[in-house]
Amino acid sequence: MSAPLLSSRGVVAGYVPGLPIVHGVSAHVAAGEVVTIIGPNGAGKSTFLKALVGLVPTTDGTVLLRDRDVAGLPTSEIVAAGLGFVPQTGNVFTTLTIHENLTVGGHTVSRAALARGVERAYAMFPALAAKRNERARVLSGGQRQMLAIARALMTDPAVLLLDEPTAGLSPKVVGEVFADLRQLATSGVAVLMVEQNARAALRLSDRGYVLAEGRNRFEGQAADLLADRAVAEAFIGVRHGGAEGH
Amino acid sequence: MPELSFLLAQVPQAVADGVLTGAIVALGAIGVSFGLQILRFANFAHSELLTWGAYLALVVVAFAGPGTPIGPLSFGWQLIAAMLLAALLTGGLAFAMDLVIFRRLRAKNANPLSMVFAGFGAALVMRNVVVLLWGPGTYFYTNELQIAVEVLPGVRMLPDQIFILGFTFAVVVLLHLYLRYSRTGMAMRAMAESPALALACGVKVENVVRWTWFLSGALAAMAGVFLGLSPQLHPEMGFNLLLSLFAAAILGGAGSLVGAVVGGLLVGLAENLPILVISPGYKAAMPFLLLMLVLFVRPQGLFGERS
Repeated sequence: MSAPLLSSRGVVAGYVPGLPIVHGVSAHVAAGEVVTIIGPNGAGKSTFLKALVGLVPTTDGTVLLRDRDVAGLPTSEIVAAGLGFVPQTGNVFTTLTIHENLTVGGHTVSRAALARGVERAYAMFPALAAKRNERARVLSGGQRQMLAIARALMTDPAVLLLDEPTAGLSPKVVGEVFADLRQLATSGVAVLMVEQNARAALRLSDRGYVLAEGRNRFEGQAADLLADRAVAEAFIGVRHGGAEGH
Repeated sequence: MPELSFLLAQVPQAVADGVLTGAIVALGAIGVSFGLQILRFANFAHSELLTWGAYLALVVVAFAGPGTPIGPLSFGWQLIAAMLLAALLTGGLAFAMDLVIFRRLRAKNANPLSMVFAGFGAALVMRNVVVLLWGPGTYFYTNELQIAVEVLPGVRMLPDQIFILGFTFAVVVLLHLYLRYSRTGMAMRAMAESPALALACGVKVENVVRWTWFLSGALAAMAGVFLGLSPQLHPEMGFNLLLSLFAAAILGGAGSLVGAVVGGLLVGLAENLPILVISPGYKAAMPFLLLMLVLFVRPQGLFGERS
């Protein structure tokens, strides 16, 4: 495995000072990898992702992005340093056109890089190119997710963080989004996502982490986590005998 | 009750007066609208920026003189230059107001109500400093007399008023192009919709906030100068327009440039048309009646986006 592009160690983070939600979580992701974080509701998965990108303050630990400690930096600097983030909900500007959404995503890059990024985004997601001058509110759920991913890629990030990228999508669209993420990883981007759709996400992933109560509980190769009975029963919703829990 | 034919004959002039008032209100309301949607609070100190803009232009005119009138206008190039300089200075004043007061409150995650009351405090200070520096009396930019010209059948306007309408139209068009096509303009619109998402996209939100303050201040200064041109300056000139500014911004829909402009025009018309048939004493209440009627149907305002 190549050296991690993003590596966090002992991250403590929370919205209210003195009341951390994430208690010393460590994780890493390398170029070309897809890594999924799973865990029950309230495990601190989304808070951890937000802490990595500076949207939630960290009070301890390190976040190394390409060997630079970015913990505590403003989000704009972390994004400029090479971290892209796709939030779970409300992840497109519905009053802006698709083209304007992409332009806002490339707010920190030069005009030339912005133009290249836009062309790359349209090449990767032709459905967006066809509607470039329409407001994002006309897009379907799957297309909005495409736009959110495309917008996060405008800065040509080394690492892409996604918070539940398939939430609310139909099974067919979930497959398309996962295929897009795998394609991104193949191009060299490190993908770290939080997913409730744990089983499908781990099938796509190279490795996985299990968080519970804001702490690392398990980690390993995705196939090993899927095969681990304790993990499967407790966190993937699979009952003894292999049936889906829900 | 006047005869119907007499009333109808007065309508075109009342509409023209309403549009003129509305143009000035619109220029001021744009900043209020930005404040409501991008800065996320109701800035009641905004009206004082109009007053300050007008008085700062007065200082420049006092030094440079009003100049030789341009054609039929009552003022020369000096007043236009003074207005542009006042716009820069008032933008800087708004920026400084943010730096000294509101930025500190944002850093402490103050709730919008605290920001509103801080704005009230800032407004009081700013208004009283104007009285301290220039006194409570009135001033004029120029003593030139003007004769109204007939621009349409039954509509007479002063050349200065025509200039105000033209200049306001040009500023609004330029601002529209800026918000539509510039990267900072897009970031402002993104911030207006979702500051959290803009932040997640890597937008330097504090820079956008500062620029919004500056732009709002500059536009307020232009509105202030136009208010002073028609016809005089006094320390409460901005304060007297405060409710109209908010009515226009909310009527049009917070965060919408088109909304602020249309809202301003509607407020102007609502102040000027009803007085043909009712007592002028009710003039100030009319925009709010209109505001209530519109908000019953569209709570987000005419051009606002439903959240």
